[in-house]
Amino acid sequence: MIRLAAEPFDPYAAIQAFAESCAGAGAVASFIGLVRLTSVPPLEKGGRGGDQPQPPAPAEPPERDRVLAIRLEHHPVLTVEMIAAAAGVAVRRWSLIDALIIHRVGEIAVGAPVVLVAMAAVHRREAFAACDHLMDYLKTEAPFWKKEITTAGERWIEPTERDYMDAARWRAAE
Amino acid sequence: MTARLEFYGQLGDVMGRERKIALPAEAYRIEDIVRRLAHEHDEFRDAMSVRMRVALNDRIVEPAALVRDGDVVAFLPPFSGG
Repeated sequence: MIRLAAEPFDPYAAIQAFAESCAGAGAVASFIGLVRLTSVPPLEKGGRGGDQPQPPAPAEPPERDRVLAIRLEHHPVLTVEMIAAAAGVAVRRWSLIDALIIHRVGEIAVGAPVVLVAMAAVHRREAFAACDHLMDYLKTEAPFWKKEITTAGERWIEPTERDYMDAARWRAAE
Repeated sequence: MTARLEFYGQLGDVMGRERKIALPAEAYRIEDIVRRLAHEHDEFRDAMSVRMRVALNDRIVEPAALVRDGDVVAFLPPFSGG
């Protein structure tokens, strides 16, 4: 099931309901993405950015770096269609029993869940791999646009080179 | 002959979410619209990315796709979910 959620959702209840609905599953792997408190560094000319070595983040980030929320925009048709297509490919590739993806849209507070991916399979390797793959897909291939709202202002976030490399791993393995 | 243009993400901030353009009588392609917007709007050219994709009537298409009267053309900056 693919769902775009305009309001906060409970990923833990969703995982439980999903696992209970997957008869025959021997494994359910899940990933929950949360809104981080600290801002990612901006992309620099030449395309490198957030993947560059950074000094360790202080436990309490300076006031100017504090993220208040993110705002996620999506396409009214393409977003669900493209995620559903990617989930379908994953179900066939890893012989999954079922796949669950819930993705927030709109404004999301720091610490709140942004995304849940849960994959049910007979064995754990397939569930882990499919979960990892879908998250890489969502980061760089699904039509979302993410704006970070910080105490220093607002800015659009683009994937890092690392995100693109992560997504490319799966194409190389096909 | 007109097409409706939609702008998402950072492109929406600089171009507005939606606008209409008149299409010439001869064949007109997605790449022609991109070239025209980049020529007429510095802010579009500056915000454009090589990773930008374009959807025609809710389907992602190649730059050579033909645009017809009444079509909806959506400009999609680099995707960033998760």
